[in-house]
Amino acid sequence: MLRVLWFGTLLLGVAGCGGGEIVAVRFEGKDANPSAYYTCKPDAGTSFACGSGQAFHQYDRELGVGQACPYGIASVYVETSTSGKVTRLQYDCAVAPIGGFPGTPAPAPSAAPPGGH
Amino acid sequence: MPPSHPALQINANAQWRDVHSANDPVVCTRYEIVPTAATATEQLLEIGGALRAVLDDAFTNGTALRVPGGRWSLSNVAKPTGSLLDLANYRRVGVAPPSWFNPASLIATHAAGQTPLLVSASMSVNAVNRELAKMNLALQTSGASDGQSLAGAIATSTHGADMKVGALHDTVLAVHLVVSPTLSVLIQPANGTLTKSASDALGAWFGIPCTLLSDDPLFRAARVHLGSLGLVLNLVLAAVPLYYLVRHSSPHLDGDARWRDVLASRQPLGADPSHPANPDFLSLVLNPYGPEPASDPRAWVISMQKLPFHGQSGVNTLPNEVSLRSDLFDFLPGLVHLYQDDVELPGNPVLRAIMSAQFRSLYGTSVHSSSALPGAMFGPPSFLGLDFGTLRGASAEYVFDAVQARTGIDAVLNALSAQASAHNQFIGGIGVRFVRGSDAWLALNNRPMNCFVELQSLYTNELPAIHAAVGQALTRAGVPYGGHWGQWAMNTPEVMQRWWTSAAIAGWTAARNELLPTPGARAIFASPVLAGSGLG
Repeated sequence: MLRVLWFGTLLLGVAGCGGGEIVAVRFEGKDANPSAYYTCKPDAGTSFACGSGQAFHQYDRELGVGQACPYGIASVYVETSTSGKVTRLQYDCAVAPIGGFPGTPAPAPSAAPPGGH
Repeated sequence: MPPSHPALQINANAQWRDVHSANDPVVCTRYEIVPTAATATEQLLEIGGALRAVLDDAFTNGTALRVPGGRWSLSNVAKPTGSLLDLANYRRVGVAPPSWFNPASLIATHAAGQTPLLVSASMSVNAVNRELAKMNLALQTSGASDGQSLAGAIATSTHGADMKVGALHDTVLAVHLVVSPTLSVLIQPANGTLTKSASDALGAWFGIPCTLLSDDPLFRAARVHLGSLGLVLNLVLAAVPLYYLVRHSSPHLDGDARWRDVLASRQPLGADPSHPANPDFLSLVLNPYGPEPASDPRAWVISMQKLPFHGQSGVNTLPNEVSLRSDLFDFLPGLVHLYQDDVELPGNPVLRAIMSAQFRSLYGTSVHSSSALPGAMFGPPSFLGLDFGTLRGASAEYVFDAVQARTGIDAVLNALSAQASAHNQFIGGIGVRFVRGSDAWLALNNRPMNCFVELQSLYTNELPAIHAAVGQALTRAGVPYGGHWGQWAMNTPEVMQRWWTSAAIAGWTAARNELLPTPGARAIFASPVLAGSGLG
């Protein structure tokens, strides 16, 4: 059983792919840093080999983040094969929260835009 | 010695690749600015200090520097040849201080329904629109998708399909450029509304002295900057009251003359009565080939109209609520999904049936309407996080005078058909967009009204031949064209001379030489796209 640690509020999105699935775990209120993403694939043993010099290690199917993100994690992507094996993991670091400029009104703190739907 | 600053994190082994997997990946050093101070004032000084440290190093050692932006471009315009300076954590937005403006001109700006907005250029278009919605404001337009950074979007002349506003760079009031470790400039038009107090404030905030330049040629260069005039740190943009977009989409059979008529008339109402008479946005999605079965639609006419938003119900506010995406949104990820479901597409005898099914599922078979805020309508497509595997995305966008839209698109479709007969199958879709003109030197939309034709596809070995044939067909048809700076590199010096005037090319080059007066400085900010286009 794959367990993914760390999380608070989750939004799940699923897209069919490769006969398996990609599950996107997105953290509400967080935007991903487009350049701070770490992609890891299973190696021959029990670990995941990761790009960008980062490390995901697999111990009893438990994953730990090898590189801390300064503003936390914005999203995680888990890709599985048809047999349910994890074939790829990716996590995206979050970017800093949005603020205002000195002497200018800052945006309202709520995460969602106004209005109904 | 690498640059050092408390707000700087260094990853010496960072991987860069664009989100469409169009370029080969690059491993390089990434400097990430991570401000930690408690107040906005202190954080801006931190950011300025970290910038100076990285730029000092680059100028001392002659290291090329690229700001990665949203990694949205498929061309090599943002591809790093040295180090990456990641400004993604610099995220600030607010109404520009009134004290920065000539009072009379600020009153005129407000009377025109516009609000000058100060925003960090590293923020994504999507994030800016979401924040502006909280302030009951909106950007006037965006690209057909909105994951680009603001700096990256204007750098490449990225556009949507706005027939009244133009492209995002046409809403820029001033550009704040850092051109060396010790100098920044705030560039506005000669009749710009900002005063020296604006440049003084920016200089003090970041600890990098700032000079106000009210200069038309420099302003025309800076709005489409190719990431090669310095480092775009902030923008002053003209925002407008929050609106929502009402989108109508009508499908049309291959033999239906109405969608072809829209190419010439730019009046979608002629295609279907659901469309407005005076749309703000106009685009079409085309199947490159006659569909199979022939009862499937070949074309979708898509219009959008802006209406004031006052919290009306039924308006989608989040991207994942928007069904049947606009334009070519999610088309490429859809192809990747198909491929990864072990459907071999090149040479597949039922390729056209597969492609037609793809169009059907994405764009529907009946007239469709939806409403969304701009931050939702163009929101993140599903390729984020998608592994392209061995596949590569490829997209080329041709632009020509809208007066020649019908001629140009006929030439493109005929060229694709002829190539298919020679077994060069184009595995993708076509997006057509109309955009008002711009006076920025290297703007793609440089005619009064412009027609963009995007050929978005998977990369196959046949693709270079296909695009060569499309270019030749346009030339034979007497349709001068340019190519999108953020897509397939087609702006050779010959293409440049046909689509841009000599004055525009010379004006941009002169501005670059003025802002970055030494060869060493120009090399630090040089983009690989410059060499291919003969710009430097």
